[in-house]
Amino acid sequence: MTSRDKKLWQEMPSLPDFNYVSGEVYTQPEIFKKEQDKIFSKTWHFVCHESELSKLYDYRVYDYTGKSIFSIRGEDGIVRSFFNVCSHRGAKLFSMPSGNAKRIKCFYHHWMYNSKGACTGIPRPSAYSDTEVKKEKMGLREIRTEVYLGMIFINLSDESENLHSYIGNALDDLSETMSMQPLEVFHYNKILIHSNWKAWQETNMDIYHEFMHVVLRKTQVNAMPMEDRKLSIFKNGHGGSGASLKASYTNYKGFANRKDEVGPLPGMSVSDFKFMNIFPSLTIIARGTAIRIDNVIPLTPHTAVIEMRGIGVMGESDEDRRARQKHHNQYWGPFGRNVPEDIIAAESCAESYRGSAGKYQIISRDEDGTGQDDIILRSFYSEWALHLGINPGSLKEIK
Amino acid sequence: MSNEEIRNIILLSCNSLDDHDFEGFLNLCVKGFKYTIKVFSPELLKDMVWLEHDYEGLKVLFEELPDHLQRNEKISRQLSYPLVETSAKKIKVTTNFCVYKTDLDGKSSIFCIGNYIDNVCYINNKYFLKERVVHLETRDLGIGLHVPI
Ligand code: FES
Ligand SMILES: [Fe+2]
Repeated sequence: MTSRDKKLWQEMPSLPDFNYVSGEVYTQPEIFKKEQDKIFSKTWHFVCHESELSKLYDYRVYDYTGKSIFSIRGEDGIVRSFFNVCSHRGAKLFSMPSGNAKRIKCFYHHWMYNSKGACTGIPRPSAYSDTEVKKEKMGLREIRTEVYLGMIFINLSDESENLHSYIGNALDDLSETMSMQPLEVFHYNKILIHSNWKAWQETNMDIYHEFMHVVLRKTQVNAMPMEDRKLSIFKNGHGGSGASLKASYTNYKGFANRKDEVGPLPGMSVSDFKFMNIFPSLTIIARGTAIRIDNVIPLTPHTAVIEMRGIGVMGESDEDRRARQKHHNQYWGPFGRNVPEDIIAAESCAESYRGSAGKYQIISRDEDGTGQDDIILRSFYSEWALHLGINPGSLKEIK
Repeated sequence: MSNEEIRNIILLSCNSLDDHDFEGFLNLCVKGFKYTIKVFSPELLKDMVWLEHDYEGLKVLFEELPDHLQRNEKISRQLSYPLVETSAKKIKVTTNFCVYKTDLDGKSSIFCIGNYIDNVCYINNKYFLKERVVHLETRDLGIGLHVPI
């Protein structure tokens, strides 16, 4: 018999733990809630690049775990983050996604705050006299904020380890590329996808799906021997390329001229390709001449927002910027070759698990950490299990 | 010179893209044609370029399309009445668009809105597209699109 009946289809794969994942991890509301409490409320979350807050008092507003939050570069140059919520009666302080505000005035009753989150003014305060409602006590809720390689992160927990320790060595291989020259975001867009956030993040960790993208079939699969492609995993569930992978752009007509169009970023050649996933939801991909930072934010078990940033060199010539933008867009723009295909994949798998037609997904490829090994996915789900206390395959509690 | 003929070029260009008649689209363009999609980002407070191609670049893109994974939704470009402004130097045509997608179940929804700023030229008694700049309002394009708007 080659097909499987109901019983066989529902049988757990006879594979070791973390080599398969139950479809219910994408659909169960209780699991989603646990992820919010035990992962997203405790791990470091990338919010923007420092170039988005280049001047004093520049701010960026974003949503995370259902909360509106802003980060602002204070008068002392330090970036801090706060709930975008007035201490008085909860109005949102900022309505635009970005801007510059030396003083933060709530539109509703005009309470005032400064860039360090202190409440600096309450109109007609005498009506609160003899109570705790005084500006010294009405500061904003501050959120831990740290910076790594120009990337600004927040953490909703006051107890978690610091960002440098959390990232560990995972970004060492990208550090030259991301720190030798000041970088700048030239592309930003957000996309609502109809899939669980993990199905998206898997597209960034599953290197086996090179077969889906014609560009990668042509430029990557045969660009170097599979056994020479090193993948790496790090503590805290991070994982990506261990050393530069290679792409042969001449094999895809539309990309053939990449090497003549703009110089590579520091620490890379034009044909180099590096990527790193920072658990749970951040991916940095550098392709010789341009960088993508992509971040997925869960909304519901069945929806998520992906945020895409394209990064170039600050102050570069218009000609270089155009070429870098082009290289970025070729893969990763909304009209690019790869990202639309990745969204189709994430939404397609999500649909199968939503209707429980899909039962398990298999992540057991073993190539000794090279080629198209699933090692990064397994490391992700091992970390996920540590946080949730659930085995992602059997859904049994881990003691 | 006839404004009606000019407007027809805009309509034909959209019909040919809708029909995936890419050769037909390129036949409406001069060899020096330039195509750009621009979008303003309120997050970055600047214009972004999401696609930029010359005639040859588009030709290659069109040739490679059949190998790409696509969802086969039907894309339909609906246009406003094109505004033609003619000066001694150029013919500028501004057209607002609303692009719908219809999925395989037959459900239509808005894919994006924006406008075309087209630069049209007149060669050997015929009109051609010389440049198209697409200004998109919509920034969340869902799965996006492999085909120019
Ligand atoms: S809600 Fe902000 S001042 Fe009243
Ligand atoms: Fe992909």
